[in-house]
Amino acid sequence: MAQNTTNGFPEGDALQSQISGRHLRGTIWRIVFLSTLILAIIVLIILLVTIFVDGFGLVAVQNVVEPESLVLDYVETDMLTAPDTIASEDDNELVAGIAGDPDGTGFFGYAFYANNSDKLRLVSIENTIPDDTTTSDGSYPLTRPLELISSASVIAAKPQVGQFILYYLQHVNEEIENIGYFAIPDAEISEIELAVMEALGLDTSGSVPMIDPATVSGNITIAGSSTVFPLTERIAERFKADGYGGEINIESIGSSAGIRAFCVDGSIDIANASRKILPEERAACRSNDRDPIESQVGTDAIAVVVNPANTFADNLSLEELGILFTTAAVWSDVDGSWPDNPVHRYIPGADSGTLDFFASTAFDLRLQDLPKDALVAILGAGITENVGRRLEREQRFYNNAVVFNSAEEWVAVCSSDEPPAGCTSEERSQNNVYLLVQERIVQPKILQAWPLTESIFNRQTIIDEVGATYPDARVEFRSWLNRHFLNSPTSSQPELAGFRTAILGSIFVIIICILFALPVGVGAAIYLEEYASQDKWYNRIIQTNIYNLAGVPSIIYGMLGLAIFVRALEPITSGALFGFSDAATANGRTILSAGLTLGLLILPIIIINGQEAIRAVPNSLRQASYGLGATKWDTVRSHVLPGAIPGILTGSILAFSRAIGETAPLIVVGASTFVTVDPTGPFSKFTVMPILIYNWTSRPQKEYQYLAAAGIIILLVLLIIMNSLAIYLRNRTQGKRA
Amino acid sequence: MSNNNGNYVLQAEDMNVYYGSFRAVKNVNLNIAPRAITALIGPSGCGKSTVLRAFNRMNDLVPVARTEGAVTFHGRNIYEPNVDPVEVRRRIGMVFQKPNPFPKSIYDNVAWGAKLNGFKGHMDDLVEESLRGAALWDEVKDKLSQSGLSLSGGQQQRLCIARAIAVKPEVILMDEPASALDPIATLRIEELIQEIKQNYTIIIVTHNMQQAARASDFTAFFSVDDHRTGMLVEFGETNQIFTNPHNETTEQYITGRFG
Repeated sequence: MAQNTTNGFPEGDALQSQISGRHLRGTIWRIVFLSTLILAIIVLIILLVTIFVDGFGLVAVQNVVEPESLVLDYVETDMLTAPDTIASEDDNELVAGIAGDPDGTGFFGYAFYANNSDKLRLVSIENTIPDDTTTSDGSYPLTRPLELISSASVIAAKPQVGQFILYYLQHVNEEIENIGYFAIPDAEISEIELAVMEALGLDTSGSVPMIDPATVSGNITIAGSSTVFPLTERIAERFKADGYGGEINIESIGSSAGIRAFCVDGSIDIANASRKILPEERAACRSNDRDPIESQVGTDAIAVVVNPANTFADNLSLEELGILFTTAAVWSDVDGSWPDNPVHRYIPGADSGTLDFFASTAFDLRLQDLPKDALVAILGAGITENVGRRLEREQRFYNNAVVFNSAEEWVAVCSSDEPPAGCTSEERSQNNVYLLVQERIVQPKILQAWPLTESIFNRQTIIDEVGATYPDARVEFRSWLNRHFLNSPTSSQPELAGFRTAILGSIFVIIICILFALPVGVGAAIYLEEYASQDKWYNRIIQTNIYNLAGVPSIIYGMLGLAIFVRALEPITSGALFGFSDAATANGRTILSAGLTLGLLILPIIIINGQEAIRAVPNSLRQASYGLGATKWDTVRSHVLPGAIPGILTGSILAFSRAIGETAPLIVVGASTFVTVDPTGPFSKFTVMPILIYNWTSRPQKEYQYLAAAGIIILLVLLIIMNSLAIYLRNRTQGKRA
Repeated sequence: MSNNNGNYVLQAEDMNVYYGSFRAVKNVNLNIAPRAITALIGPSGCGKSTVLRAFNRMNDLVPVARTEGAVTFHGRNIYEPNVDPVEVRRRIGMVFQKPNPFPKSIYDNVAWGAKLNGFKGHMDDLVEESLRGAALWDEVKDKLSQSGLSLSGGQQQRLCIARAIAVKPEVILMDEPASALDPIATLRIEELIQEIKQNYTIIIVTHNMQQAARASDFTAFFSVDDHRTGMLVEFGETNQIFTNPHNETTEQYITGRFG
């Protein structure tokens, strides 16, 4: 190929280098274009991630009323009000009752059974009898651990605390049977001792040193569970008797209060607890430098007993246990093979911790599992009569009865001119009542919220933080985008705020916008394309102006809308002219004004799009039509419009999706930011999605940012749906034309 | 407007067509005999399509176009102000260079014009009759509801002819109806034109001199002057034009020396 350059073109090496130089330039530009594409994709991804990160995440929620306590109340009431049930705070009375009644049954702390085992017969639960083994390994269901809770930091500062706990562990199994609780195996005790020894700074490889109380000095304060109280008291007495010179102060205030006093207030050295420490409590302890050391010292169990004359009831499953102490009238209700003797129940009274304990362990119920009647009762107990009446008028609780209204009231209300929805609607479902209980009684409050990334990567820190700051709160994962969000109006409480009014507002506004802009825009486009002569100077001016209007900033349209629709045409846009004068609106800042303003905003776009779609209809079709003797209108109606409609729709949908996302003109036109009433028609005041999002993002509470993110997701989904529809329509037409 | 035997159906008298200030054709005088095929031939840009479109006022659709002189249809000037071009086109149908069926079903393609013009008879029969007239019936009778666009190019053009004859015009104008088709489809269109000549007066613009020689009864030869304005050079029976042209330009053109 090595030839001389004779004809002005490079040859040989020069040719090759010239070609590779051009390739190189091409490659460089290709890389530049690729980089810009990658940049665009990265920006998009960052945008989406930012929104999604804010839309979901951990929240610290605190209930005004814990659902568990509602369930417990329900179960206890159910038990206490069951027929043939005698409740007493005095366990001796229960023992005497069961002992003297062949059909009697009941339950109480195991200690009492142990003292009266000659008069009673113990029933196994799930084929298990409570003893040291079954209580410590958990196979007997009606048990709870008895614990001492302290921490290495406390023990390091006050060695007497650690020494007392060690002493406690070394001697508890000598005393525990006397109190009536179950011992835990020595091997487990040794393990627990190791943790305490470590905290005391003792050598854990050697044997456990026996504690001599005479060598221990300094005071110890203990508080907590009333169940653990007698055992701790007994050990404390023994500790003193063995020569301890300091003061031990023991208070019975309940497990939760004890743990809080230890972890949060730091006012005590040891917390007595008749349950395991909860993760939030543990976190709270940690954040106060009191990483808890749990020392289980024993196990409490409930004994379910019958009269010795009862020979058939040997064993009960948990389910049967629930039936026996609530609904069963005769023994055969519990087990078909048992006789039809009546059931006589002897159970601890409402003030007893034993009843709580039994109710919380024997029944595996959640609030949403409760029957509707129970939920209505819970609701009724927690709300005022007025609220109840209002709820009932919105939707009644029972088809055949009224709860909060009196029967006369109900008849009067329902025979009025405008009977409320509750008069005709179906009764509320169990789930509906459950949601009301959640909203009105449980009232979960979001104390703090975290974005998704932090929720994933800093989960433990967040849990610790919540434990320290809000000991009663629990940490849970929350999707800010949920059914409640879609179904509720906005609110000054972020956990109650929803998007409903904004979604409806946007839909109403866009409907007005479509009704106005689509016919006007398409009509104008048809006239300009099919009728107006482009030779006339005024038509060209109109055309140029339409192009320019499409580029005018949207805020200008807002000013225009304010001047024309809100002010000048107020009698029309406020509905006053049609007798719709609404005291709440009282001016032209209505859905109608907003829809018309947005309609003006996108009108040029629709006209231009429509013209392009009409222009895309092949001229040969018009000629064919005219050639058959068609008039202009025949041609437009039968050939131009059908051919252009998909294109017109595609462009219009894109224009409407722009209108849905518009904020500025609607602020000028006067969209309300805080509207809790659904819009009812064109003359309602309104808010729309972008306005509410804007409003939320400018609020001081951080939770509203997450709500805004959820709102943006909905807006985005809506826009994606609209754009997909446009693409679908476009593809369908292309398919048709091919 | 009955067809007077021996009289001319269409007559152009001193017809001039302008596009704005540009005179596209000048002083055309042309008499179209009934139930015969008149071919308009000539080099590119000689205005033969313009003349054709002047016969049913299709030029009106071009905003800047203006026609002077007269085109009489059975003795009446179709350019008189009180003549509705819609009626003119109803009587003088048109088939275009490129097949342009409507994006509708085959049935609707044929029926639309008839429905539009107030046809009161039995539509199914009219559609069948028109499709048979356009020698398309056998090919499409089982798929009348399919889109007209699903047919091949030649079939589409025959559909356009069926569409044109469905409104029962007297004259059919054809603007190079076979130029976008392959030779076999072209042949079928030519045969079809010969058949429908029995019932219709046909004016056909063609670039293809063989086609004009084969298929037409009369031939009008157009050429351009120095201002690129088209003009009728010679008109006569096809046989005479192709064997014994009176004009030198005509002879040069048909013998292939220019054009």
